Amino acid sequence: MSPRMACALGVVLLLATGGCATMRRHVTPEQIAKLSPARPIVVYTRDDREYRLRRHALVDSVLEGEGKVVGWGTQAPFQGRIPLDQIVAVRAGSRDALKTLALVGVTVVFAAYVHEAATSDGGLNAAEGRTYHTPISGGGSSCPYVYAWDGEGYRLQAEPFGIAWGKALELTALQMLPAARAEHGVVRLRLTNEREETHYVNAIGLRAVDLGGAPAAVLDDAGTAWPLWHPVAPAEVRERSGRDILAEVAEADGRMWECDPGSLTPDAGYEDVLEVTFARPHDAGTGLLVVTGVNTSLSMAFQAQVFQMAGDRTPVLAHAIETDPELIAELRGYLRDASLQASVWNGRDWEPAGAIQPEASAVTFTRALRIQVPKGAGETVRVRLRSMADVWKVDAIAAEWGDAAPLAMKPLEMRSAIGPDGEDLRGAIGAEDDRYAILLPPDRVELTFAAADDAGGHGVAYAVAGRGYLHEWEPREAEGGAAAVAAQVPGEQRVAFVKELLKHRERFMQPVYEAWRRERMR
Amino acid sequence: MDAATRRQYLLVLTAAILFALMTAAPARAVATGTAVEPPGGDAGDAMDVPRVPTASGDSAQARYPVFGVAFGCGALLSSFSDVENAFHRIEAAYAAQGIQLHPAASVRKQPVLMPTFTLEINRWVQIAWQAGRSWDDNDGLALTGGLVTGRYILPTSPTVSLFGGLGGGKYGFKFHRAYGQVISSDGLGNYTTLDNIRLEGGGAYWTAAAGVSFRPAPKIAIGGMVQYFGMGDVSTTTEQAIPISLNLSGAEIGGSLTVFF
Repeated sequence: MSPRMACALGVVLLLATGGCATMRRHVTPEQIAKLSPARPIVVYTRDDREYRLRRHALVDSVLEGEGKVVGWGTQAPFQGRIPLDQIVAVRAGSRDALKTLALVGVTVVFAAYVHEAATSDGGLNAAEGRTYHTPISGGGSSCPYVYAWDGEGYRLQAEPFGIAWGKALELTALQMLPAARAEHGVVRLRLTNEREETHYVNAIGLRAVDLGGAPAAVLDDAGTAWPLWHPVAPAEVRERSGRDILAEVAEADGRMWECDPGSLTPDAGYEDVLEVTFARPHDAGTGLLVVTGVNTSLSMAFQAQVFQMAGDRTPVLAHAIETDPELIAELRGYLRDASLQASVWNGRDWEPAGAIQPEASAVTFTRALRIQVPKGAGETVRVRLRSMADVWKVDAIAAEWGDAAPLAMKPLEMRSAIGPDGEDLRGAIGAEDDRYAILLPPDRVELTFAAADDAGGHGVAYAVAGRGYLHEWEPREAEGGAAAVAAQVPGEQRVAFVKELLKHRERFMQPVYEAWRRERMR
Repeated sequence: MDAATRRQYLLVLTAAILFALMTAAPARAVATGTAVEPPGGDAGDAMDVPRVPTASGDSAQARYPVFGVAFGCGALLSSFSDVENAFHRIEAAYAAQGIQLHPAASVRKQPVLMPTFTLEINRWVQIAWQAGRSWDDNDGLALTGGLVTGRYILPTSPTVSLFGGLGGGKYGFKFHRAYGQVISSDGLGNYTTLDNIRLEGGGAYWTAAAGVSFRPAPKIAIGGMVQYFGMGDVSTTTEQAIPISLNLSGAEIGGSLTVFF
């Protein structure tokens, strides 16, 4: 049944019931006496006649009226008197908007239900929904991707070790999987390589976080899980220019703050600074600074600059990234600068409070930092966040005040790890050791883990722990200023040249930001 | 219909029924000749009340037909094992090709919501048009049809009646299961996933119902009922050439609130 038919049904029903009219029976002299003389009534008498009176009046012990009399198969005009002791009942129509509302309400629901039953095809139809996937060539973000099964489909949830450029930078990243859901006693994950990179996966593990009754959990910079009970929004947030950006970061609604591309100039120092002010909590000495956001793809522009400068010496540079302590330290320095570094105003100075590393540019993530509520800093708690410019897009900033204990976390058994050729990869990626699974695009690994036992009924959240590193493939072709520079430096000196340039951050980053700014403006 | 729409419907309906109850309550029918508080609503100016009583007895003409709307809620007693078996047979067909699908989740039965229009022809016979629905994003059963019931009013307690009836109508169903698993790959990076399997269809049903009704006021009835829906087998052959067959017959137990106009 279409909505139009449903409306028609409603109108018909209303008409059938006399519009807004409802019929009432009046059977006592007191009730009859209350009837409005101007309103038509129907009088039923002992001799089974029916008097349809247009006008009526109660006079002593008779009802005087004018209309029609119906009975025994006849109908005749009537004007006269009906003794009360002959009246069995009187019916009077009355307007009742509330009953009409009930009727309309039921009619709407009724029509919707009838529509579903009436439009179903007869018999049985069994259909299989299939999707044909083709390889993904490149992309704006870093890999690998971890997808979690939510009961309906796989949802992209995390990007572990996307910043680990080489074995020397190999790391373990622990990331929450809000969409992960246990089904038939297992949790299903999918690990994919969707970019022109080689992934060396050392280990993938799943952790169960006992929520302890809390609605949600968040991981801090050390990978410790904390409960989120009542996060509060800041009172004020300003960016470096002084612009108030509270509306953009007050809650995680997908509306992100990102820096103005016009500010990506050497004069601005290629740095973003946010000043966040919270009302001071009066009953807590510590709290969590909770940041929800996503990273831009600036790191891709950075990588492109590095490798284009190396030109045909890219393999040599890749080897240096693995083995040259000076170069490794330099790259770690860049990574530190790209992190969101927090400091808290203690009344005299800005006190460092930790940093959140970049970790994902395709999926929004939430991280927390444990902070102390400063004494003697007034009625507010002021936090400063700074990082390399345009690395972060911030969706929400909040604070969870209180001295909560960390949440218990336990590893879950890996049940299966099926590689791209159907091979069992549990031995390669089941534990952190010297064995690796090597993934080339568009390889994927289907993983299942034993679901957590929530015997206490406190609620369980899941987090994935991924360890490994990646190698970017050589750029397809060198272009722009970096390629021109590479062409002028002899091949054997090119890696040393790149190393030297990397030491001068502003000089090295200037062409990166120029290319990036053009990209963003476009 | 998604959960939000369902909640909206329920909200509108609950509000409507509450309003109706508030309105219906004062319109009590009274025994002939008995002095009562005058009903509100259509009162004119107060007049002197005659001392002569009206006639005793009842008038069927005055009482019937009576139109009413009801809203019922109940639970399905069927296990829908045919549905689960059908999914498992399809999964077994894939397993025979070496593709192990994760087994489909069990059918999650939702409460049956059943708005009904009723027409009391006389004190013994009632005609009803029902629309029932037990539906969520994955599993759903909807039906609409007529039910003719006979009523027996307990002589010892005129506000309580027993009823039984027969009817028939049309039903529709859907059962969706998500899989999201790779079922083929060409080694060049191209691959196919089985996203979901959907079983949908419908047919005609017959029904038998029995229950008890309590009328705390002339304009309101509260009832409890067991209703059996008999449906024929529906069958098809899947893309894997597996014959599957379903029969969704089963009983529903529930209660309802009726407001008469």
